[in-house]
Amino acid sequence: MVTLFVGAVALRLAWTGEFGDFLQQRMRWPLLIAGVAAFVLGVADAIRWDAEQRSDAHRRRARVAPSIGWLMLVPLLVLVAVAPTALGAAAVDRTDAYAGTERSGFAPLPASDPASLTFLEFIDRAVWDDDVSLRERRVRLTGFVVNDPRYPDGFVLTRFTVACCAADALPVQVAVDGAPAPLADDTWVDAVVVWREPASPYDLAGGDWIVEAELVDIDVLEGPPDAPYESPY
Amino acid sequence: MAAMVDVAGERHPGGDHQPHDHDDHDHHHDDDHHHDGRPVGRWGSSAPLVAVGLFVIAFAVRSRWSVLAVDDVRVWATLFVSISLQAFPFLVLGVVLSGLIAAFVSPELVERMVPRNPYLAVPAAGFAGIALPGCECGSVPIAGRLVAAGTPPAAALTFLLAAPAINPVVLVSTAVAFPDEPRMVVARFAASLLAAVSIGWWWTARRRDAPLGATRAHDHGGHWRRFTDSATHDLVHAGGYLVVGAAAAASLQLLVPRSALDAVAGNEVASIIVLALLAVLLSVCSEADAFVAAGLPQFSLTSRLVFLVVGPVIDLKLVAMQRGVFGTRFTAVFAPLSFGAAVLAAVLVGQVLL
Repeated sequence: MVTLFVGAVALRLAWTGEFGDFLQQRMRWPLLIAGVAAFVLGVADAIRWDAEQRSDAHRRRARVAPSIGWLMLVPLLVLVAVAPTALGAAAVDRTDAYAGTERSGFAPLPASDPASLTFLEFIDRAVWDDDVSLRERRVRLTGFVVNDPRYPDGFVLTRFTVACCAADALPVQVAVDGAPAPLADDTWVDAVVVWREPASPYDLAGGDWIVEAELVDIDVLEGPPDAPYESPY
Repeated sequence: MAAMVDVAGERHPGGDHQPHDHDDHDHHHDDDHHHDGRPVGRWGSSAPLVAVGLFVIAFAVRSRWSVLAVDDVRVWATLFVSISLQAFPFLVLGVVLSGLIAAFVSPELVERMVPRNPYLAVPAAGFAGIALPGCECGSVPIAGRLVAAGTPPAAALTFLLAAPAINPVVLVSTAVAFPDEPRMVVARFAASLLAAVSIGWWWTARRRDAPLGATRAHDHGGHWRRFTDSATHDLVHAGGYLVVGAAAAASLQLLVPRSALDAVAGNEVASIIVLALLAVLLSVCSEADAFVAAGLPQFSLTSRLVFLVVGPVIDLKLVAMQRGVFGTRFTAVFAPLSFGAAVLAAVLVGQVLL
C-alpha cells in the first residue's frame, strides 16, 4: 500500500516537473521509471492482499511489508504540509559560495549580445580565464536576488548549482551594482551585466569575496524557471 | 513505529525478514506484528484510511500553522524531501535487483559463481561492485539478499562497501568535479576498493560466525511472486529506514555551519578528521559528493579524498538502513569499522598518489 502511494507521488512529481525543486533535471527519467516500478509492486501487493482477505485462511499470515515502511509516507506528508520550494535566499548562508574551478582553454564567448552564460561559466571565466574573455562584454544571467548589506546599491545575484539533489547545492553568486530600485529577496530576474575586473587578483586561498559586475539591464521574472538549479556537468 | 521494530532487541537478520516462511510456525515477525500478538491484518485494512486522514490533516495544518512558513523549516523540508526523493530511484533499482536475486539466485548458483576460497571471494566481490551503476542506497538491500542467497557474508559486505564508490557513474562525476586533478579519480577508486577489501578480509578472518548467516526462506509461489514479495519487502523496509536517515541528514545540514570549517582547513590532521565526520553527517549521495568536495578548495586534496571515501561507506542514512536490514548489533560493529578503514585507506592512498 505504501509503495502504491510513494510510486504515485514520484510519478506526479516527475510528470509535472515539480521534482525540479529537489533534484537535478537528469533525474526525471530515473524517477519516472522508479515511480512506475513502485506502483506496479504496489498493485501486485494489493492484488495479493485482496486475495488473502477473501480466502480468510491466511488472515493471520504476516504481511509482506514491514510496518517501518509507513515512515515512507513522511516525506509525502511534509510535501503536503510545508509545500517546500526550490532553495532560495534563506539557504544561501549555509554554504561557502563557489569561487570557480581551475581550468584552462576557454572557448570564445558566444557571439550574441548579450551572451547568455551560466553562473558557473561566468565565475570560471572571471577567475581563471587568461584571455579575459569577459572583458567589456554584456552577459545575461538568470538568478534570484539576495540582498546583502555589503552591496547597498545592488544585490547578490544568486543561483544554486546542484549535481544530484538539493542537499548537495552550492550557491553560485555574482554581486551586481546599480539596481534601479530595491528588489525583495528571492525575486527571480533576468540580468544583463558587465563583469567588473577586480583591482587586485582574486584571493584564491579563501577569503570573503564575490565576483562583481555592473548591472546594465534587468527584467523581473514571474517566478523561477522550470529548472531552478544549474548543473555542474 | 521505529521503536516498535527495535523492541525485540535480539534480531535475526536476513532470515526473519523473508516474506515467505509459510510453514515456520514459530518464526519471528517482529516487524510485522504488534507485540500483543495481534496480526497487522486487522489494522492493516484501515491503514489506507489512516494514511488519507493524515494527508487531510497535513493539508489543513499548512493553511493554519504559520510555523511551517519559517525559513529554516522550509529549507529543512526541501532538503529532507530532496534526499528522500533522490535516493528513491536508486533504492528501486536496488530492490529490483534484490528481488531478482531472491527469485532466481539459488545457493547452488552462488556456490558456483563465488570463488571457494573466501580470501579470493572478497576482492572478487569488490570488483563486482563496478557493475552497479548507482549510489549507496541501492546496495544495502542487494547485500541483504546476497547473504540470504548463500553468499559468504564477508563477500556481500565488501560488495556493499565497494559498489557505491567505484562504479562508473561515480567515477565520472568525480572526474567532472575535479577537471584538473585526474589523480583524484584513481585515488578514490584505489582507496575505496582498499577499504572495502580489507574490511572483507578482516571479517573473513575474525568473524566467521558473524550474525549474518541467514537461512534461505522457503520458496513459495512462482518467480514473479517471489520477485514482487521480496522487492516490495525490501523497498518498504529499507525505505522506512532511509527516511529516518534523510531526516537526520537534513537536520545536520542545517546545523553544521560550513563557515566554521574554514577554521580547521590549515591543519592537515584536523582537516581529515573534520571532513571524515562531515561526510558522515551530510550524507550526500556518492554521485554528488565529489562536487561538494570540489566546493571545499581550502582543504587539502588528501582530506577531500577522505571525504569521498568515507561518504559512500558510512553516513547517517546508511547507518539507519544497515540497522534495519542487518540489525543493531551488527551495525554497532560494522559502522565504526568501516569508518576507520575508510579514513585509513584514504590517508594511505592520499600519501602515495596525491
